[in-house]
Amino acid sequence: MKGEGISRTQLASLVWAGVLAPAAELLPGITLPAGGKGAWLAPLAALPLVLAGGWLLGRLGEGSGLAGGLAESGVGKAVLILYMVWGEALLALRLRLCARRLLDAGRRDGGLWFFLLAVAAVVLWMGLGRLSAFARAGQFFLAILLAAGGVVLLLSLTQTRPERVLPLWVEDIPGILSSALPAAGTLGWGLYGAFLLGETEGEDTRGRRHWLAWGVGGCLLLALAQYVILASLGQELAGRLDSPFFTLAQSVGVEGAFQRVESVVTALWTLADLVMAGVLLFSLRSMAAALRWREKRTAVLGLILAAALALTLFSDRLAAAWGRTVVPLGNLILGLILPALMILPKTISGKRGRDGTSCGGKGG
Amino acid sequence: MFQRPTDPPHPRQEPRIPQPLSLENLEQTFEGCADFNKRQVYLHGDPGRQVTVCYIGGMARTERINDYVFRPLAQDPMLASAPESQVFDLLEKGAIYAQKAERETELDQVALAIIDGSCALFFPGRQDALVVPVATEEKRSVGEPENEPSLKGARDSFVESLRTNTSLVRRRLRAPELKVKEHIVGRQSLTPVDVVYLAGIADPDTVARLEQKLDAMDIDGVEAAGNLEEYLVEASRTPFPLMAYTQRPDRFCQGLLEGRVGLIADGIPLGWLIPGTIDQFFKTGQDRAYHWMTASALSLIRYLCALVTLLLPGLYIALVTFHPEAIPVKLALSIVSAKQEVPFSTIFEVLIMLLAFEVVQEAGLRLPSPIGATVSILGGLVVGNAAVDAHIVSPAVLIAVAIAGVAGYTMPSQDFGNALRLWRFLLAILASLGGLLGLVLGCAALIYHLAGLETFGVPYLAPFTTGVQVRRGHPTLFRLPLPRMKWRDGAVHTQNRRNQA
Amino acid sequence: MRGRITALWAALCLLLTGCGRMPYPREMEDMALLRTMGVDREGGVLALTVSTGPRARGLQGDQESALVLSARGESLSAAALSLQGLSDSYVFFGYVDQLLLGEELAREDVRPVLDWFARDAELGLGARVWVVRGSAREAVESGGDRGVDSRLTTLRADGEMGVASLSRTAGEVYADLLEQGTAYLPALTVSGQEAGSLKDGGYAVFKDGALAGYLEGEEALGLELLAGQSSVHMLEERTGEETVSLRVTASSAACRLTGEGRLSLTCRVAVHLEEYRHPLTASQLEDLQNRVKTREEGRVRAALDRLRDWKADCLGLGPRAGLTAPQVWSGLQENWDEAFAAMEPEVEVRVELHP
Repeated sequence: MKGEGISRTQLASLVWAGVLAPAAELLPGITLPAGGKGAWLAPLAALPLVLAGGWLLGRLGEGSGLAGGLAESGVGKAVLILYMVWGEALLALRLRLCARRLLDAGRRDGGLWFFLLAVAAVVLWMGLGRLSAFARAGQFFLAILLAAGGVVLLLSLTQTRPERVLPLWVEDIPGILSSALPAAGTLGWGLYGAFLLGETEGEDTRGRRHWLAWGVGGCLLLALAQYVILASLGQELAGRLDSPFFTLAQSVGVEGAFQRVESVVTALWTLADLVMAGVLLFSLRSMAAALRWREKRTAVLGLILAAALALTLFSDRLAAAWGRTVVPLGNLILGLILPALMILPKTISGKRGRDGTSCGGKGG
Repeated sequence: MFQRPTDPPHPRQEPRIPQPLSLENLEQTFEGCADFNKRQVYLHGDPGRQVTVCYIGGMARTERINDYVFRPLAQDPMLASAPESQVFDLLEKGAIYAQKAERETELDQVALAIIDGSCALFFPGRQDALVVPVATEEKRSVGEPENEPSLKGARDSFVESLRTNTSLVRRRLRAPELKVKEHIVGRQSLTPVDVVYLAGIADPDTVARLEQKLDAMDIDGVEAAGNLEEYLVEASRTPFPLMAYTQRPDRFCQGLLEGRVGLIADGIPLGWLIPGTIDQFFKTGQDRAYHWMTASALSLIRYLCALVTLLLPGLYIALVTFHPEAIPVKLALSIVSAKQEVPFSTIFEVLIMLLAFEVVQEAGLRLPSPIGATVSILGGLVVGNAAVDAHIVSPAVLIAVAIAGVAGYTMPSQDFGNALRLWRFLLAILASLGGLLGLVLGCAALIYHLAGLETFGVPYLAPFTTGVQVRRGHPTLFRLPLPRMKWRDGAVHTQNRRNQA
Repeated sequence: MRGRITALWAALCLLLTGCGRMPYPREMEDMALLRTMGVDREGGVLALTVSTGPRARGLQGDQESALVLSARGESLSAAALSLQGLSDSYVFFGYVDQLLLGEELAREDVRPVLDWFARDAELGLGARVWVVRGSAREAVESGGDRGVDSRLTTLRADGEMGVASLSRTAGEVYADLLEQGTAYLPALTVSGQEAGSLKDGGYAVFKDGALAGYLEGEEALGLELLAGQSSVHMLEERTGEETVSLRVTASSAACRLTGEGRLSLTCRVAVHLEEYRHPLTASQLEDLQNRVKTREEGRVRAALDRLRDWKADCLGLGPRAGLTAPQVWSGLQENWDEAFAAMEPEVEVRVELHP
C-alpha cells in the first residue's frame, strides 16, 4: 500500500463509519435481552471495553504496524492467519446482510444476487485503489451518514416518551453492565481498523487524547441514538422488530415536505457497508503484505471468496443468527482476549529485559 | 494511457537552421515569405559604409523602424567619421535609439528574433548581426471580461498579448517579489508561457514541478487552452477540471496572494492558477466584494445547486419508479395526473429530456445572436408547450430536468459544470438500473473518484479533508469576515502562512 | 488496462443478463394508490377493505372516482395478495395512512394487525388508527365516490369539528400495547352512506390487545384532559339569570407519585369567555371559575373511574409519575395495574379564566 498515509482523524472516521452499519442493524436488538430498560446505556457501558481493545491492539502494533508486528514470530503468523479467516467471514456476512437489508426495503424488487454483486463490485474497485483516497471518501461518507441519521433521530424526538426508558434505578445496573458485552461485540467490528494504524502519519501532538475523544464521542452519540429509538418505540416493540432504526425512519417526516424516507436512509446506509467492507479489504492487504503474499491478488481473491460464501454458504437465517451471536463473541475474543494474550509475553519479557540487560524492542 | 507502444521517436533538430549566420542564408531561410523585407542603407550618406536592415513587415512597426533605426543610421555623423571597426560597437552601445541592441551569432536566434518583430542589421564582412527590437504592439485592447461579469469590482480582463497580461498583474501586485519566469512551449508555435508567483509565499516545490512539466512538453503548438491543460495535469483520467482559470486579473492576483502559482500563455486570454482544488471552481470574483453573510449564503446556494444538478434527474427516476412511497402524497398524485396518456416510461422520458436539454444548449452556442433569440423562444416555448399538450412528455419531468439544468448554470466554472453534466447523465442511468441503490453507489463512486484526484501534490478535495496535510486556514462552504481570515490555505503548502496582522 | 476493461464488460454483462432479477421499475400511473384500509373479522376470516382517494385523470383537474376493493383471507398477507387480483392496476400500499379496525376484530385482538403494519415493507407504523363501532367495511365504503380519506383527515386535523381530537398512530398504539398492555384509540360511528357520515364516537380502550370498552361524552373529555390535549369545545354555565358561553382552549396534565404510591394528578385548563350579556363582576367570575373547575374535575374522575374498573392505565400515568419518584415506582411497577385499580388518585384541577 504505497502512497501517502492517512491521518488519525481519517482512520477514526473510517472505523466509525464502518461500525455504523452493524450498529444500526444490531444495537437495540442484542442489548435489550440483557439490558432491559437500560439498554440504551449499553454503548456507554461498553466504552471501557472498546478503549481497552483499542489500547491493546495499538500496543501490539507499535513499531511496524499490527500485521508486521504479528508476522515476526511463528505464533504470530498463525494468529495473523486466524485474523484473516475471521476477516473473510466478516466480509461475507457484511455483504450478505447489506444485500438482505436492501432487498427487504422494497418488497418486490430484484434478486439478492444483483444487490450483492453491485456492492461487491464497488468495494473491489475501492479496495484496489489507494488508501488515502479511500480515507478521504470515508470522511465524506461519515458526514453523510451522520447527517441522515441525525435528521431521522431529530425528527423522531417528537415521538419520544421518556417514561419508556426512564427512570433507571439501582436494580437496572447489573443489566446495563451485562449488556455492555454484546454492545462491545458489535462495536468490535471496527477492530480491523487497527491493521491500518501503520499507515497513519502526521504529527503526534494529541496522541492518546485523540483516540479517547473519538471513542467517547462515538459511544455517546450511539447512546443518544439508542435513547431516541427506545423512547420512541419502547423496549418490546424494538425487541420484536428486525431493524428498529430503519422502522423509525419509516414513520418520520415533515408534514407536507417529505415522509416515509426509509428507503432513502436504507440506501444511504449502504455507504456504511461500503466503508466496513473497504476497511476489511485494506486490512487483508496489509496482512498479505506482512506475510509476503501479493497484496492486490489477495484482495481480489479474498473478495471473490467472500462474495461466493455470502451467496452460497450463508442463508438469511444463518447470516442473521451469526450476526447476533457468533460475530460479537468472536469480535470480543479477537479484539480483547487474543491481543491481551499476545501482549502478555512481550510485557513479561520486556520487564525481565529491563531488570537484566538493556532492552531494545517495542514491547517493553 | 492511450499511447500505443509503437509510437516512433520524435527527435528535435538542434540547431533548427544549421547554416552559419550570413545575409544570404537569412534570405534563403525566408524564401517564399512575401513579408520579408531588406533595405540597404548608407551610414550618414557614406557609400563606402553600408548596412543591410532586414525585418518582417507586419511584425515590425513602421514608425519605430523609421524613426529609431533608419533615422540615426542616416543622420548620425559619428557613424561616418568613426573608424570602420568601431561602427558596430557604436551602434550596439547607443547610436540606435532602442530599448536594447544585441549582437547575435546564430542564424537560429536572428531568424526567431526577426519573427518576433526585431530588425537585424548586417554589416558586410562580419559574421554577426545586430538585432534591435522594433515590434509592433497590435493587440486587442483591454476590455470587460465576458464570461465573468463583475458588478462591484474591476472590469478589466486578460488579452492575448503576454506582456500586457503580466503588466496587468504587476499593476495590482507591486511587490518586487513577484516573479515572472518565461518558458517557450511548442516547436512550431514557439509560444512564450510565463510562470508567475510570489517568491516567499508560493511553494517552491510546486513552481519547480510546474517548470519541469513545461520544459518536458514537446508539442507542435499551443493554440488552444487544452494544449496546456492536458499536458500539465492528468486530465485523461477525469472530466473534472484540475486547473482553475480566470479572465480577470483581480481574481488571478487573489490566487497569487493565496499562495498559488499562476500561468499565462501568449495568445490565450486566460490566467491559470495551480493547484486547482475543488473550492476554486465554486468561487467567483464577487465573493470578496460582498458582505460576508451574503457571500456565504450565495456560496452555500452554489454548492446546493451542484448537488441539485447532479442528483435531481436520478432522484426523480429512482423515487418515481422504484420507491414512490418517499414522495409526498399530493406530489405523487400531481405527478400521476401529469403523466396521464404519455406513452413513454419515466426512465425513457427523463433520459430523452436530458439529451434534448443538451442539444438545445449546444445549438444555442452555434447560433449567431440575431437568430439565437428567435430560436430560443421557438424551441423553448412553442415546441415545449406543444410537446406537453400532445402528451409526448409530462410536465413534471420537464420541470425536474429544467430545474437541474438551470441549477447547473450557477456553476462559476464552465468546465466543472460540463463534468457535472456528464456525471448527471451517468447517475440517471444508474438510477434507472438499480433505483436508489444505483444512485447511492454512483454517488459513492463519484466521491471516491474525486477523492483520488490530485494536482501538483495537493488532493482535489483538500478544502474538505486535509488528511495528513496541515490544517486549513478557514472554512470552505461559507466565507468568514475578512479580518478573521488570517491564515493562508495550508493545503497549498504555502511558505508564509499568515496573511494579516 | 485491457484486462480491466474486459473484466468490466464481463461484469456488466453478467449483471445485466443472468444472476437473478434486477430491480423492477413500475410506472406510477399503473398503480392504485391506496389511502385507507379497513380490517374486519367476518365469520372467522379476516376481511380487508381498501380505498384509494379520488384518482387523478388528467391535467384538467377532473378526477376519477375512488376505487374500493375488498378481499378476505385467512391471514392479512393472504387477503392483501388477493386484493392484487381484483384490480387491473397494481395495488400499492405505500400511501396507506389511515387504518380502520372493525369492532369484532377489536374485541378479539388487534395486535396481529399492528404487527403486520410494523413488519411489512410498504405499510408503515405512521398510519393513524381508528376503531369503528360497527364494521370497517361500511366505514370505508361510506366514502362513496370521493373516498373516505379526506373525511378522516378532517376529523384528525380539525379539532373543532367534533369532540374527539386525539389521533394515534399505529406505532404509538402498538408500543403502548406492548409496554403497558393497554392503549386507547379514537372511535368512529357510521351513520349512513354519504360523505360526512363518519362521526366521532369517543375513545376505545384496549386491555391486553382486546377491546375493553368505550369512553364517551364526559368521560371522553376527561380522558383528553388527562392526556393534556383537550379538544376545543364550548361550555354553558349559568351565572345568576344568564347563560354564559365559555370556550376551553388548552389544557395540560402533570402526574406525581406520593410516598405511599398514590397518584397525584394536577390538570390545568385555560378557558375563554365567549358570549355574555353583561360584563361580569369579580365574584361572578370566581363563581364561574369554580363551576368550571367542578365540572372538569367530574369529567376527570369519571374517566379515571372507568379506567380503573378495567384496570387499564392506558395513558401511562404510572410511568409518567414514576419519573418523579423512581424509588417508589420501582416497587410499584410490577403490579401497577392492580395498584392503579386499588388506590384512588388525587385529582386537582386548576382553571385559568381569561375574560
